[in-house]
Amino acid sequence: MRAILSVAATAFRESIRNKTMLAIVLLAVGFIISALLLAELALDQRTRVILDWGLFCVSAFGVLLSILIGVSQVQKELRRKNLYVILTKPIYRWQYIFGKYLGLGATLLVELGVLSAALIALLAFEGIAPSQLLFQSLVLALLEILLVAAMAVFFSSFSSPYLSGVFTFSIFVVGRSLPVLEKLMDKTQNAAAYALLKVLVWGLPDLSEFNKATRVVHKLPIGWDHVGISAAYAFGYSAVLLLLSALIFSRRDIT
Amino acid sequence: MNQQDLAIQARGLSKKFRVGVRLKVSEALMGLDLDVPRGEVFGFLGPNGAGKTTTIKILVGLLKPDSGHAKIFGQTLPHVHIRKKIAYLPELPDFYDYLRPSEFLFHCGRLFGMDTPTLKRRVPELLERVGLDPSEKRPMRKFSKGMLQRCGIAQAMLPDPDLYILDEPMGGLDPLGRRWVKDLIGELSEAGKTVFFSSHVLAEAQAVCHRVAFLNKGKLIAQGTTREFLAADAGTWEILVLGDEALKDKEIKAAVSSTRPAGPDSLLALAHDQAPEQVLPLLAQKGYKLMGVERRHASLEDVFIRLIKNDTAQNHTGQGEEKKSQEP
Repeated sequence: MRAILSVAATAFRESIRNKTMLAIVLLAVGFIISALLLAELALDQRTRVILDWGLFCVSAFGVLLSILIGVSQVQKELRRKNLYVILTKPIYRWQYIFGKYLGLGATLLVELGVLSAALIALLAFEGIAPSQLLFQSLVLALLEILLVAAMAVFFSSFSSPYLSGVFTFSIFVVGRSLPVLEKLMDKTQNAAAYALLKVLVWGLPDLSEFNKATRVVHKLPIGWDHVGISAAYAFGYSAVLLLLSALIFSRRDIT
Repeated sequence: MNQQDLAIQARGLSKKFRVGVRLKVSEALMGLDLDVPRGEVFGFLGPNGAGKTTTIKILVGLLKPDSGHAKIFGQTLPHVHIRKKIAYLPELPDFYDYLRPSEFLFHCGRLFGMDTPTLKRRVPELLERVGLDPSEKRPMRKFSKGMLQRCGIAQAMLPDPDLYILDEPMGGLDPLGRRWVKDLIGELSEAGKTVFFSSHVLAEAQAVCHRVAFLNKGKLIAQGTTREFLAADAGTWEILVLGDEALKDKEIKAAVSSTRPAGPDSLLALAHDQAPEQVLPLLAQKGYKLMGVERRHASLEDVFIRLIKNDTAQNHTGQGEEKKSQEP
């Protein structure tokens, strides 16, 4: 456990001090604040626009950060031979992968916390009290980001940062569109297309369940049971991805 | 040699890689046998691409051999717990961008299983020993190659291990840095540690190694004590000839082992079994003016060049014969 925590603490320090990531967080805060400008155009829909745009920014920048940090965690250390030094210490490779993910999760938690705080501050500035719905939506966004980060770590355990980024982003896009794919599956007549869609729907994470911005905007309730099931789903899926990453990473040659 | 006297023992280590778009097979190591006695400084020498780094990566558990096995202090690899006894420094390391050296050492120490009070004492002590300021606040991305190398050596020394495996520890360092590493290896040797290192800097290797092994194209071509190699290579003769004409003279070149310019003049090196009397008449006959004949001291560099040349020549002959035998 000590080794995992040390890897996690180092990954957290390294990511949180990263100036590029800091710039992206500041940019995201700027985008959230720009909701005020958009709200000017919305006339009587001010609150809805701020909430909609703010939640979109939190989610989009959160996913961007999780992909950027996630894919570079392992590969950056490998490129610089830092990984050689770490993996030749008395630790197992699975401990390294789990430690990296914990550090990444802690970083994303802080960064998402900053973005959420910016959104809540903006709402307070507009005289809008943050609702339970908003908190539930932010928790779901965090769960989605943690799942995406696990995907990024999984791909980076065996492929280059560029490919890992492309794979993770593609799965994120498909994962957000799974309900559409399900509808397509029901309508398709082609057996091959049906089989492919079934594999996608069955195997890929259903990320649409984490995106509840529309319900927040329209003040439709989100049950705590949905949040709980989503959390179990995100952690379960992430755990499987991390186990697979650890398995692949333990068997590969570090060249 | 008794197994208990060996820090490293490798038998039949082989490793192939697939390279390029066509996944062409490249043999990095071919049946390497290696014995590194405890408490000695062992130089692992060879040209670029010889397989030195591949061997080291197998020894520290970063690569798995395709065949063969290696033992560290009698324990078969890969064995996580044996790593507590190994200090490893990769070639030209580059560490975390945003971490300070003390933070990096604390991290490495925790991975070695060291407790916080020990680390609080050991980290400043080691930073000072490798010539870095213990209160250094700069992140490591602002460090020079030499400073990173010192950091790398400090992390390796943290648990005061019995075996040091260093990949090109003098690579990329200025003369002062190389001298520092050489002195450090000497100190470790005095403290009874086993140091196994690869290097291109043969003069430094000669100064510190008890024993050396020469690797070429994935094969071990010779291994023995430095003293044995130097004694075997000592006593070759060199003839200094006025002007550089002798360098272009095919007859002279054929008569000696090698030629090279020495300022405006020509230096002719004789083969190990050649006496000056065998060449001097030819030089006199061709009207070359002698400037000096001297028996020179052998160096590992000479041994290295001779061994690599012989091995390359043997490989060519072998290939030629193989080709001939395949011909109808």
